Amino acid sequence: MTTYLIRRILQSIIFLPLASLLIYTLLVMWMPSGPQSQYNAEKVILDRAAQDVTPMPELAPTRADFADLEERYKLNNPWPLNFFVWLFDPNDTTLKGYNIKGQPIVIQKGINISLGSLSLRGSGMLTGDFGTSTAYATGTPIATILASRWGGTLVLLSASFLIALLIGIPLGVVGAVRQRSPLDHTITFFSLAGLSVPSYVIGLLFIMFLAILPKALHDQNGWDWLPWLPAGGMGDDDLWSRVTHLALPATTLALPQLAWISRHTRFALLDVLSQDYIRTAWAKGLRSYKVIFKHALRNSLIPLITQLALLVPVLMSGAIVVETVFALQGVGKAFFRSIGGCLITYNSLLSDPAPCPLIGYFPIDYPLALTLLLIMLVIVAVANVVADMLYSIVDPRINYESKGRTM
Amino acid sequence: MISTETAPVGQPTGTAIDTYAIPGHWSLLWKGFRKHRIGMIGLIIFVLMILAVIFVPIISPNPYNRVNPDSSLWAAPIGTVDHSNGHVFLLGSDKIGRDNLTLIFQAGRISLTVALIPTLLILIIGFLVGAATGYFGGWLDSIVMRIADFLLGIPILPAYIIVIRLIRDTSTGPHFAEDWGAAFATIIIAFVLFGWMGISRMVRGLVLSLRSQPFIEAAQALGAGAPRIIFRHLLPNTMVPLLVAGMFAVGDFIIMEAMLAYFGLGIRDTLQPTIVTWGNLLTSGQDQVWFMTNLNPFEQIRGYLVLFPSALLLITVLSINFIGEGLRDVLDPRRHS
Repeated sequence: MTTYLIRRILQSIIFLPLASLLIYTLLVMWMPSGPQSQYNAEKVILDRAAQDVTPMPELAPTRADFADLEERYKLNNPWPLNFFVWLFDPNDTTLKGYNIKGQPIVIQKGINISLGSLSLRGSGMLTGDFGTSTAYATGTPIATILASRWGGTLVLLSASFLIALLIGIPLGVVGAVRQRSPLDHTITFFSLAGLSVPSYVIGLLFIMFLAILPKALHDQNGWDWLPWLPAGGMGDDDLWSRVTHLALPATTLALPQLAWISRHTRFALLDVLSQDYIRTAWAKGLRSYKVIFKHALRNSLIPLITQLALLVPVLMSGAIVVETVFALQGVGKAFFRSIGGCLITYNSLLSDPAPCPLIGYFPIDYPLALTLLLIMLVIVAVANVVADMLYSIVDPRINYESKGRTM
Repeated sequence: MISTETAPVGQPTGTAIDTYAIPGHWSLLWKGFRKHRIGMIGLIIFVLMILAVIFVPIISPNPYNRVNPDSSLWAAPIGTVDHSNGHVFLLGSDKIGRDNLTLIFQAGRISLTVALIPTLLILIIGFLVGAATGYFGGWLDSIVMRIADFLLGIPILPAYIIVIRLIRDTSTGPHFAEDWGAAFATIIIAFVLFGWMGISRMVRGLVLSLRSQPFIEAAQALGAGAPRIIFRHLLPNTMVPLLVAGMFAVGDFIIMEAMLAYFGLGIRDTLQPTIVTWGNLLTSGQDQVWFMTNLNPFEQIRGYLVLFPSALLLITVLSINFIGEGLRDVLDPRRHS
């Protein structure tokens, strides 16, 4: 078990730099609009300008822009060294700038930790030096964007996780205990249905039938008693407004996971209920709630608990969609925008992801996209390790071969 | 499984065993599946859906692929009659006067195609990779399975977005947003690139357990080569699990296509000639939801521009999942519900 665990953790540790390297290579070096091609193009122009072949003053990039690109992505290093230097560069610790009076000054950047004779200094992504946004919120430091947006996403994720757990497990238990009853068939039907539509469609239907239609009835038909939920946005500062604004997005995000959890619980519980020791428990004359909750459910939840950690990346992907549909200010929508996402049609509430241009796409915000992708990868890797640890801690009799998809 | 093809030269043909009606793999499966109510309902609905998707756009009189010149027929409610030719808009029309009924079934053609082609490809690739790694083992196995693990660890939605952006920006051919063929091919490449791993893992697991069974050892002892063992002995034995995995993959790809259409990365509705999918119908119909001001969702609100495509998508994917569920129950009676 320990060797298995160590092997899995080692795999995750190798996964992380490899996946980041892949992302760096794809986005920074291969993307035709990416920093590398921009850098190459500017280099040609600057070289020609230096040789006075074709001056092209109006097209020529400034030396400062060029140096900035090179410094930002460490493009003067060969691949794959540029990736590692981009992550952490021990030599690049200062930023040259000018103060208000125009005198040159040197600003410390990155980290500078010293413990006695040991000192660790350097800059790069790993030290939290993410750079500034280039397209989404031009000029804003990415750390600021993250700080203002993580809260919304975390609340959304935890709320939907709770909803999925608190409703999904009981539904699964009911389905297993009342196996083949109409109730069981209904639960099975709806959980399959929950897995059969894209989550933005669930969101749109919710908005239609729980937000806009009741509000129209209330306003126009004089149905004063009819409550409605807000269709989107973050809400005001008071708690009630935040909760009502969160209700629809959290439910939308929770529904597929809820369906998944209830199906897993049902199958696991059915599996356990057919075991010999459960028959013994029934034969002893135990009350049914004791057999089900004390003997059966506990054992059947073991595989589920371990799978829950794997839901985290799925929820993160879901947050990208749900935050966009419900116009929430979160990391998911920032990612959607940073990768050049746009919405096909314009509508007033969703003016933040701007309407798509008829031809072509929006520019990619490379620093923001890279940062968010790296964070996502870290979360996936951590979730995988946690799942493995739970797996081996909770249940020693494990089939080490089969593991599910992580997204 | 009884093979009907002619045996190669030097092999005994028409052995006695062929003359007896031994129930084969497939007929046993069908026998079990026929009794599975949910599975059969799914199968019937799916077959009906495929027939409808093929025939409704042919039968339905109103064209789907042009802007209606009569602007009084734009966003027409259910049952509006086009007085110029007497045709009825049975499900109303969309905001440029295209017939909704024709539109949603025409959309199904592309949605199903864009899901079925990559499914077929990942089944082939997944089987070849899984059988090769499972049968030969060794360094091939460890390298390919590490790659599969690595790809499985990447969150799927960002991966699709980046790969599609990359292909779109790199291609010097027809522009992605103008040419539906390019959009179509790009989606399929992305689906295949991140779709084969799960299936090859499953096949590898099956092959590992089959490899040590007597009939494979017997074939090896008779001198059968690896290709023969893989295609004549391993393939028939992994066919049914592949079918189940394929069923679920079709449903997933239909959903994923709709998701990509929502992000503006799929096949767009604005292309010429018009290519509609459920995804881009939903996407272009969604602003109607926001502008709903009247009360009846089937009258002024045009909420049905979202309702109909989503209902069709839901029914199709649900029936596919029902079939997959039924097949899985038949295969694994322990899970029988």
